[in-house]
Amino acid sequence: MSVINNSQDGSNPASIQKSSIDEAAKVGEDFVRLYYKTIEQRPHRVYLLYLESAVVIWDGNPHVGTSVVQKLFEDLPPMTFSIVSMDAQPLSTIAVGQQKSFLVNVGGSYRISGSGSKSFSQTFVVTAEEGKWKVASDLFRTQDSPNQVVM
Amino acid sequence: MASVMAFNPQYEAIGKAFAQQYYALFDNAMQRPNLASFYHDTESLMSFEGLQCQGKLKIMEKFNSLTFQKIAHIITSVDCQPMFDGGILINVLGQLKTDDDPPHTYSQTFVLKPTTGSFYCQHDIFRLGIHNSL
Repeated sequence: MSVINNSQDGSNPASIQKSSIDEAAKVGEDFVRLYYKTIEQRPHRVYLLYLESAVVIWDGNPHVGTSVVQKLFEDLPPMTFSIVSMDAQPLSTIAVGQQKSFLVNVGGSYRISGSGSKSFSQTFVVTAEEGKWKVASDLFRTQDSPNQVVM
Repeated sequence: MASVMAFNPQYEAIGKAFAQQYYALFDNAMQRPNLASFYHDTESLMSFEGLQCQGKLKIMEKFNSLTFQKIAHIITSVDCQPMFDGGILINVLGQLKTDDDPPHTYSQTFVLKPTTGSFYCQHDIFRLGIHNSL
């Protein structure tokens, strides 16, 4: 992965350095580990991982605001997650206020007790607030198995 | 609630239109090279099944190295959210089929960044769903 020097275009704050790509991977890993562990073990505390202004779209339904997000997770049935993929990229521009932020995409499956596994895809914009990583944007989708589509 | 600096109120329409256009180009071998116009020379980042590419040239190189003859994408869902800088976060779920292979699910995340009069694709993360199949 080539390093883009800031000096190439010093006035452009959007240049991405290898170090921030590596940082994205680390932040992504740490955050994902914490996030799914919290959903599994302490669902009543998941909302604390979200900014107050966070926007969540869960299987097509929007949830905005702390109390709404809190209710979303409290109303979920107990779930266990199996994470298969995690991709993270640094968001080079001011995507959330003035803070450093990352784009994190997760793929895997979840199981609600008593039911079969379902695949899901979840995309986060994660940003720093008072030294902690928090979710600014969340897009969650359950993914059904492929149909035999006639092409 | 944080200040609504540069939210683009058309984010949903733009996001959906972008997704349609992207796959229309991708699925047509003659048109696929036109995908290059969506990416920035240096600032676009793409993760393709875990492989990271940066910049238009490297990204197009990756697309050109894919070995299928035919490909077709069908979109199942598109979720969009506006970002503070006027950008758009897009998550697409769908199915794709290459040549005579069975269809696979895929998930693709885009971040569109505004530029004068238009947008470019600054982030692109693509994952097949095959790893999740049971």
